[in-house]
Amino acid sequence: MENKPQRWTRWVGVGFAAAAAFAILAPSPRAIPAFARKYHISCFTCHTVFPRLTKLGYEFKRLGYRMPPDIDTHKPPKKVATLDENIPWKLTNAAAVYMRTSVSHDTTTATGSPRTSASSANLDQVSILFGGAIPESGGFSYFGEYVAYQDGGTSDMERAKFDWTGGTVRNSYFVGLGKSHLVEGYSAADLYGLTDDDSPLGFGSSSPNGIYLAQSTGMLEGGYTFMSPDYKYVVGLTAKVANGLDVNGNGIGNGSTYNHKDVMFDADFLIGDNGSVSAMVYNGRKDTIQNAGTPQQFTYVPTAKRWGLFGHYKFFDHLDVLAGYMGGREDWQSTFNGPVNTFNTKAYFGEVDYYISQGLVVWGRYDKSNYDQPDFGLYASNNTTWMGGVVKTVDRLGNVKLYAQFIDAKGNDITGAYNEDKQAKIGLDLAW
Amino acid sequence: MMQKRRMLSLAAFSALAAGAALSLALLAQAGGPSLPQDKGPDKLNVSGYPKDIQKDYKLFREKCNQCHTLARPLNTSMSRDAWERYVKRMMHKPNSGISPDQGKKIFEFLVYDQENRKDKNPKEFYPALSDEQIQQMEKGQ
Repeated sequence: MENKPQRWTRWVGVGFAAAAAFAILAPSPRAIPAFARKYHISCFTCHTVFPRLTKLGYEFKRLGYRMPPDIDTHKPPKKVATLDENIPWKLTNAAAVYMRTSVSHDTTTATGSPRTSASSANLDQVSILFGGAIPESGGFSYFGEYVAYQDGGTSDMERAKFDWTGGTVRNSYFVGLGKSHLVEGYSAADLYGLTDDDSPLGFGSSSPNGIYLAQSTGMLEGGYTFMSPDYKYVVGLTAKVANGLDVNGNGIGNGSTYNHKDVMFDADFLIGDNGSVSAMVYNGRKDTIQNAGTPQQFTYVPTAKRWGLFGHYKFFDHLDVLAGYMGGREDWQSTFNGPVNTFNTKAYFGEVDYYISQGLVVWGRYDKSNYDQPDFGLYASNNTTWMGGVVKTVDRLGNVKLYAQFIDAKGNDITGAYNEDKQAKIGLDLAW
Repeated sequence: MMQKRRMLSLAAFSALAAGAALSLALLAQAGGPSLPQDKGPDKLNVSGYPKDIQKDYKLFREKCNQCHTLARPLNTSMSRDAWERYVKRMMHKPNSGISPDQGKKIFEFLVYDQENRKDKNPKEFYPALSDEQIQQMEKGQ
């Protein structure tokens, strides 16, 4: 709800209509993204509804974009570098286009301001994705996302990294270098939810110091993955050392050359066919401007910590229950050379997704977050968000998605000022 | 203000044009995303099938749809032994979520459908393709 919709309804509306027409008229067997084309499978193999990953999607990613082999307990586990080595590289198996469009109606109520409402047709995002294992390279793979357009912003290489994955399918390890998101977890901890507005709490929103975990920046990462012979149990451990954000909130690769060395550790435990638990810890620093535009303006470097615990369980193959908690602590300095206090955050969410059939989900979610600042008192700010909706893929392979949703976000900031945003939205996402 | 709006429109238009161009390129080159049988019907009217087989068909729809279009098995003709091997192979796919009992029910549906629909009009269905044949097909495209 932070990004206000763009209003160039004239031609963007035409684009939306064209996209809708394409969705209806396009020959669906051809309109599938890169990995699905490569393996002759549907999007549902790796996504419950794209972009949220299934267990197999997580395993595929952990093996450097290689498909785990069939279960065979009589043979020794295959080496990762030998997987998929017979599949030749093709542009159509390595590149895909992703586009999000929507029509929305927003109503805002705020203390001291008249109630406002607005409707708009939006082109939310156009991205070009590319990635996959490099054949006969001995374990190398790559992944990138060029965001040609997003929410009125400029184009940007959101992700671009190379990985090397070694070991066997049972016990593999990887090192990666490039630009990526600091956090990209699994299921309840997945940065990507069922819709763009359904990502876990605190990942995409900034703290008053301007720190957020969905940041995209240059980083070195490494990890270890264990998979049991029947794939029932998977453990994924990841450590990242990132360059962090500069004073403007930019990471390296987004115009910044700043380097703060943020550290992130993530552990995912996938248990059985339907459950998982994820834990993560983050420690970082960022230049922050305080009292901007006043004679008292100064810059300081707060240290920030985050710790989170997330989990999900899918009952009866249809009812997915997700929950998560994230705590945080950051430095807070109000005056130059003044005392450095501590600023606390805590947030949690619960979500229920009911998969009526493949590609048709009804979902509901509740988020609550609090934060305090020493200047204003303990947990002076309280925010709650209710959201829910329906998502339906409209083609047999799952790469065209329609959704309708409602979001009600309300709360008060540290000064006690009340704000409430309500949004109704219908969206169309395409990947091909 | 007017100039800024025009710049935004130009940026968005450029983004759309770039995306559309690559999309057309992908669509034009996307020669082999699917097998021949994938293009056939992906639904079957089973109202005339026995009740147990109708239940098995429902399970088949739920499980097999996870990784590939149902058109693939519904438009493929195989012997009973080949279907058994095929279902077992699918059960051994990672995270297929198909238990031995469920695999048996899916197999029973496929065999019933084979004997009561496909075997009566064999020319309307495709033979199963081996991995090697699929690779050859891709090279030819």
